Amino acid sequence: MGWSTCRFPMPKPDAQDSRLVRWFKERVPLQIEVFEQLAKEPIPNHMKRWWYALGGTPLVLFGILLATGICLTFYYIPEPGKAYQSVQYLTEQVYFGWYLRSMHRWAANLMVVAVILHLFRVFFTGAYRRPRELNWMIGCGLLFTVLGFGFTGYALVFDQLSYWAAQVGTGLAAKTPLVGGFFQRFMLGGEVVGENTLSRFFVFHIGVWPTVLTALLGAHIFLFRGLGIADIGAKQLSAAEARDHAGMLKSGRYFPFFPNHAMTEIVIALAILIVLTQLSIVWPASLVPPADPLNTPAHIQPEWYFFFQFQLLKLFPEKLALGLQLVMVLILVFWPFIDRALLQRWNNPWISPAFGLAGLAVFLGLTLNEAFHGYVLFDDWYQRLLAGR
Amino acid sequence: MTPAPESGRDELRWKKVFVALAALLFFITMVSVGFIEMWRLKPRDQTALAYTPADSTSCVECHQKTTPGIVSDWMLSRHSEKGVGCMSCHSSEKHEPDAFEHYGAVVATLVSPTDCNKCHAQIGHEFQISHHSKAAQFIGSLDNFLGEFVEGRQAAVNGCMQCHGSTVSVTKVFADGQEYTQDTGALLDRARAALAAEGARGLEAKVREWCSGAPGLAERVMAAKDLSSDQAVLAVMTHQDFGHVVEREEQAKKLSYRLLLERGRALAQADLAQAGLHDRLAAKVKFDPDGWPNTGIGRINPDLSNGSCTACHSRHKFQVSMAREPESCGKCHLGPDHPQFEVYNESKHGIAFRANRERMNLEARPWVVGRDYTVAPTCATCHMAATRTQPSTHDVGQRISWTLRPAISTKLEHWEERRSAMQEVCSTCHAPQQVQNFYMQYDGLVTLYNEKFAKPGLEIVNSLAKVGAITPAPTQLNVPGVAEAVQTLAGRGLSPNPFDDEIEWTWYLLWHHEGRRMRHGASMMAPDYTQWHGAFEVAHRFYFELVPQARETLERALKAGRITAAQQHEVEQTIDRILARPDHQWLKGLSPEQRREQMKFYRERYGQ
Repeated sequence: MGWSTCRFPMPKPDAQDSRLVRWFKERVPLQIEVFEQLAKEPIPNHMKRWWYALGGTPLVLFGILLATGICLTFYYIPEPGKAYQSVQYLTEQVYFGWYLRSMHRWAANLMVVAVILHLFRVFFTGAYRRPRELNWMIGCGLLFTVLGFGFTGYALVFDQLSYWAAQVGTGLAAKTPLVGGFFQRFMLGGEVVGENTLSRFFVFHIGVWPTVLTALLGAHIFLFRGLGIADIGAKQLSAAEARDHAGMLKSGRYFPFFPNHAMTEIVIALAILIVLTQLSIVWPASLVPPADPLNTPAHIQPEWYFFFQFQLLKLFPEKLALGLQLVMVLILVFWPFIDRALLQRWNNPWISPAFGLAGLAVFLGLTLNEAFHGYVLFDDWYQRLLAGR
Repeated sequence: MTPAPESGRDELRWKKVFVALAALLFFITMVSVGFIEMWRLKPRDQTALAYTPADSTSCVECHQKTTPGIVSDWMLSRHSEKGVGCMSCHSSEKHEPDAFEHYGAVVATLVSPTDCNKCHAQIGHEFQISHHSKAAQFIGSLDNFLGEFVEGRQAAVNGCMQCHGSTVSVTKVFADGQEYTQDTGALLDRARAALAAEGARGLEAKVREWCSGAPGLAERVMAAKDLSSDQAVLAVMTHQDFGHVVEREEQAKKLSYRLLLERGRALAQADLAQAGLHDRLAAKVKFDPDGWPNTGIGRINPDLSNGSCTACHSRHKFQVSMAREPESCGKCHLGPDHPQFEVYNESKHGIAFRANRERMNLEARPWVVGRDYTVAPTCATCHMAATRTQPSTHDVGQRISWTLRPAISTKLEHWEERRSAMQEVCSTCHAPQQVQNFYMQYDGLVTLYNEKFAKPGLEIVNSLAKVGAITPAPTQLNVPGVAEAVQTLAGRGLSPNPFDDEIEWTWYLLWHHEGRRMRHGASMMAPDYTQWHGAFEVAHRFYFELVPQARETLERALKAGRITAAQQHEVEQTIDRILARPDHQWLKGLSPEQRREQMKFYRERYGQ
């Protein structure tokens, strides 16, 4: 032991340890007790309800996306002339290629659903309030990263829908005041969707976004494990009480993370895998004709999670729609502070849920309208408004 | 409150059960994925022959060398994807009229709708109740008389029958050189006669099976004397059996068709037995060259079934996209007498189709207008294809409200339902008022044609036949007075003939060619066909050929002593009465106002 120069406390040797365990304990400066303590961390009883496990769901989905994504990358070629063919080859020729692609696609969709549901759950339970404001903002960053994943991934297929969605998406980015033109050129790597666009989207999809997501996810988990899970409806514990894990578990209002909550997460992970597989069997990822820059499809639509913005652009003039989006993003990110200011001003606990419900209604209404009709809700009303009648 | 340790342990135990169940379910799901993958890769992992079902492997091996085109077409077909091989359609039984031994298998060259119906029963039924399926039954028509007699048999074989369909007679040749010929046309007549004479008594078991869904219907059908046509079967049915009148008619058609096939098969087998050949398998068959090759849509096959699916779904690829192309219909629906294809091409629909062909999604299954494609309709879209509320149909007349075929157009039975069905198709892209107003324009054009030219033209021709100035067509024999004229003509050695007088050709060209062009042009929004190829030609033919020829015919007949002066006067009065109608007043010249209007127009526009 004397030869060790490690600055961390070394694991304590145990007479009952085997030679192999001793060998590892001498070389790896990790104290098992710390992990044991972490594993037995007290979890508030409300987490026994299944819907409170929505935070773990994106983590499981991220794992699935990572695994299937790596497999897809073995075959994908990010070149305009070959991208579509490589996806087609993967889907039709490669063993279980259709399954991997379908799982990836469905997992990506469910990821967005899970993150949005998690966001609303955190919002309506007030779990973003002090001292978790920063974690809320990191969560918002995670949502935007997931959307970035979706946008770049959708475009990689390079079929008619994805090509034109990329064309429209980058076109919209160009409308952003001041930086729009630069931003569009940066994404496209030129004036139109082409070779450079595809390689940039590819790099973002498999390199930049995963790195950003991993970093944000790490920070998100670190903060919520460090601050503890928000104990909904209970009195805030003092620092001393929060450190007394044994006392917390004894109180009956908490249960240990392992094995109780870990089991829940395992069931959820298996359920997600089953659901994804079933979705992949029933509705496997398909291909429309390859991208044709000379042939604009009759209906261009982004992925469903951008329907909300798409509808805003149909309802309002471009600049107003983009401005509205910017305001909404800022409200979302800084909501913990806005919420505090509102509470201080009116001291009414219903203000925040009311805002949340209104936001949810707008989001769902616009998304469903685009999904089921493809035309503008209240179109007549809006036309009259524009005409000043 | 501290929870009891027992409840915590119970909770954990339940979670373990959940984990185990979820793991099991996941395992089952993954096994199913494995099976799907095995099934998916099965055909692709092997050579092309692996697509072939076992009973057809040797066919493919040999025909790849002898007729590679057939095999490669089939390889590209959906049939090959689904494991439908050669024998699925070409296998036969030795007593079948065109069955023969072929390298140890019993096969039939000709695939009839009876074979296709084994898998595509609903489509087969829709086709059987359609006008298409009766296309070959046109022997009594003026067109057939022209083809078979005026022009000549080979004109009919190479022309008319290639669209309408032939009657395919077949000769079995046995190993010892003995031959046996089935005259399919004669067999069909005998089957009809037998049904008319016997009713359904001989088919009692079958009739009971077919009519089991409608109480009492089997008894009424079997008690009937004449079941030789769908009208005869329909007459047997009553309202309480089938609530909906269209459905009742469809059922009658279906039943009469099946009765006919059953009776034909029994007669054919009895004939073979009588010749002592029912147990023998032919070494080869010879098709009557007048009847085959032929892919006419109403072909009467050796098994008495009607139709040829290859008329639209070219063998052996059976491309659904090919059948959806306007060109597919254009094989027959074109030319001077019914230029539907040219009319479509001239219309905005045709222009939109050509401009957007690649967006038509022609291979889609299903192919729903408004959902799977929106850029243009083809013939199939309006007449057959699925819409947002209607299923697809192979009864091509289901959405047609006017018949534009005869000299005088009439609205079909249940035309309101048919029109609603078509209007629903239109409504995919057009607002209700546009659809309704279009139909008002179209109705107006057909009524104009009927009232101004067709009915007067027919009245003039009938008047000539009635007084004996021309030999009448058989279609005129039910006109009052014509039968008596025929008797008089018979005394002079003349008999009814639809094409022996010049004015009969004139009248035929007026309604059969130009009149149809006028009507078809309007039905599918082709202005040039409506006007210059249609209405203009009709007017010219009427005023400057039909009417003058009628007067000349009367003069000649009077001089030849075939009619009296009084008869001449009577017909002249008919013509004058027609021309005195307000529609024809323009013949008297322009009014001062019209004259001034024309002069002004030409002076201002052309400086003339």
